[in-house]
Amino acid sequence: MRARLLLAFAALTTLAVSSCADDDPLDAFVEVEPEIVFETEELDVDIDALAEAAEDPEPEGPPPIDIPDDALDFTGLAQIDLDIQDNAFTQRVVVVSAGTEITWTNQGRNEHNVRPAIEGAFEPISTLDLAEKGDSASLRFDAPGDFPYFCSLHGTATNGQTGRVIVVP
Amino acid sequence: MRRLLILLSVFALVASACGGGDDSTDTAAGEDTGTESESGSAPEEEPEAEAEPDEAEATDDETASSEPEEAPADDNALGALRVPQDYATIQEAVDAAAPGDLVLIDEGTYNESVVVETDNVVIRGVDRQTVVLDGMHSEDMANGIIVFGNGVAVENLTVQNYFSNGVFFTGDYDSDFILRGYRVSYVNALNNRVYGIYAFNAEYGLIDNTYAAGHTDSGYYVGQCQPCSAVLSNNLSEYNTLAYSGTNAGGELYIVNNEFRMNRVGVTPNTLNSEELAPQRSATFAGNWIHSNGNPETSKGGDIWELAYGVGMVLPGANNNLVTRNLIENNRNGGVAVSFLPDGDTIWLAENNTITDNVLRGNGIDVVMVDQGGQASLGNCFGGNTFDTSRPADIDTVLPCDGAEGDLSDMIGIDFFSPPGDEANVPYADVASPAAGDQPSMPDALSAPASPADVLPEFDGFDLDAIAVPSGT
Repeated sequence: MRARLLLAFAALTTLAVSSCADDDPLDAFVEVEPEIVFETEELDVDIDALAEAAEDPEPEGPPPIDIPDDALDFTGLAQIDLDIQDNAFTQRVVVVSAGTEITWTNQGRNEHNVRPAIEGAFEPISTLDLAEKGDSASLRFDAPGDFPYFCSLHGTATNGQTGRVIVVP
Repeated sequence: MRRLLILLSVFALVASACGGGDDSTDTAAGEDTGTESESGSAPEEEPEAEAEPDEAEATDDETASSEPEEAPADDNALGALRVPQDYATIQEAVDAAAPGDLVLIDEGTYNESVVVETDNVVIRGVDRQTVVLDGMHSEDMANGIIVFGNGVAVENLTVQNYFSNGVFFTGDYDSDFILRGYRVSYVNALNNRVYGIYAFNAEYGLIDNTYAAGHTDSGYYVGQCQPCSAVLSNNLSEYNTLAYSGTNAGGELYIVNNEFRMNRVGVTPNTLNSEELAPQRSATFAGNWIHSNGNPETSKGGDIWELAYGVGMVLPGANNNLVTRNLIENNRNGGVAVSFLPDGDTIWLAENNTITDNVLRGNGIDVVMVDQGGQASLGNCFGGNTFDTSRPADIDTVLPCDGAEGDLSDMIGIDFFSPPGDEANVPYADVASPAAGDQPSMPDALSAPASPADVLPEFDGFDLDAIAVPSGT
C-alpha cells in the first residue's frame, strides 16, 4: 500500500465533506482534511518497508554480548591471572577491558591447553606451554568481542573443559 | 542377601546374552540386507567409505537385491549402525546414533578421535584385536573416545597411541554436570600418553575385562567422584607408570579381582589439590593380585610417584579405605604402604585406612606405615595379614584394628624407598604391552544386543564375602 491511496482517500473525504457542509458535527473533520493531504504528499515512502524496519531494525555494529551472571569482572585491569585445574578453567567466564593481558597457570596435575572455540579468533596456547603444574602462558586481548575457548585434551569447543573471555571497549 | 551389585548384574546380562547366541553372520546373506537400523537412525543415502577400513561396500537395499553376491555376510539383525558399511567413520555413526543404538565397527584401523554426546549409545568392535583406533600420537587426536553422554558403553576394540587418553568419560565440571553411567569391557588401551581408561567426574561405572599398558600416568584412572559408585574388576594393568590411580575418588568404589603387575608403581588411591572433592576416601580394594611392580622398562611420570617406585599399593593422603584379601607379592620396594602426601603447601594425611587379611610376601618390605610427622596411627590399622616384614615391625600388633597402638618409633620416612634414577625412563610410545595380544574378545560380539550402561541408579554395594585371596597363578 502506498501513500497515493491515502491521497485518494483524502479526495473522497473532501467530496463527502463538501456534500455535508451544513452538518456541524463534521466541522472538526473538515478542518483536519488539509493536514491529511499535506502529510501524505510529504511521505512518498514504502509503508510496508517501514513497518518491517520497525519490527526488525537494522543492527548497528556487532550484536550485544550476553554476559552471564557468574562472569567475573576484571575490567580496568591491564593484566589478570587465571588458574587451570584438572579438568576445568577455574575462572570460567571473565570480562576484561580491551588490551588486557591474561595469564593462565596450570595448577593441575594434567597437561592443558587453551584453544579458541572459533578457529582463528586468537592464537592458541599449546600443550607444551601448560604441560606441568606451575607452567604459565599469556595472551593479550586487544579487540572487543566474545572469545570462547577450550582445552582440547579435556573438552571440545562446546563441552567439557571450556572457558570464555569477554572483552569490552 | 541382597548385596548384588547392579553393575555386575548388567555385566552378567551382557555375558549371558553373549554366551547363548548363535553366530548369525553366515545365515542371512541375501535375506535382508537393508541398512536402516531398528531405531531408524541409519543414513538415507549410502555414505562414501574411506579406503582404509576394509569391506566398505555398498549395502543399500537396491544394491543388495540386484547383487546378492556382494551383500555383507550378516543381515544386521542387531540393527547396528555399521562402520564402515553404513558410515565411513566412527564419528559419523556416533553422531547418527540415538539412545539405545549400537555402533558396530568392522575390522580396520581408524585414525579418529571420537566424541560421544548422545546418551546410552554402545560402541562395539567386531574384534578386540583387529578393530583399532589409532591416534598416531597426534595432538590433534587427543582422546581415542571422549564421552560426555550418560550411559555409554565401549566394547571389544583397541585404542592406542593417543596424545592424551584412550577412553575418557567425563562430566562437565563447568556446568556441574556429573556423568552418570559408563562401561568399558573387552578393550585394550595401549600407549596412550596419559591415561588408558579414564573416568572423571563420573558415577555409576563398570570397567571390566580390559587391558591397559604403556601409559605415562595410570592405566586406569578414576578421579573426582564421591560417591563414585563404580567397579573395576577382572582387568590387567602392566607397564604403566601407575597401574591404577584414584585421585579424590571414593564412595561405593570397588577395585576387585584385578591383576596389577610390572608397573612402575602399583595401586594408588590418593588425594591432590588439583581436583575437587579432596580428600580421597572410602574405596575398597579386594581380591587383587598386585605383583612385580617396580619395572624400570616403563615411562617415568611425575616426580611425586617416584617416591613410591616399586611399591605394590600405596595410600598417599588416602582415607577410610579397605584393603583386604589381596595377594601382594614380589614388588621391588614395598608391598603396601600408608603415607601422607605433600602437595604444594598442603600435607594430606592418610587416616582411618584398614588393611586386613592380605597375603604379602617377597616384597622389599611387605607392610609399611610411613611416619606422618610424628603423628600417631591416625586410625590406620592392620590385622590378619600374612607377611614377613613390616615397618614398624610386627605391624599387626603395633597398629591393630582392635586394640591400643604400640611402639611406633621405627616408622620410616616418605623418602625411604629408592627410585630407579632418570635413566630408567622409556618413552611412552616405546613401552611394551606384552599381553595385549592374549586378551580375549567379547563373546558373541556380532550377536549380543546393545546393552547401554544406563541401568545403574540402584547401585547398593558389593558382595565382599564372595571375594577370596587370589592364588597368584
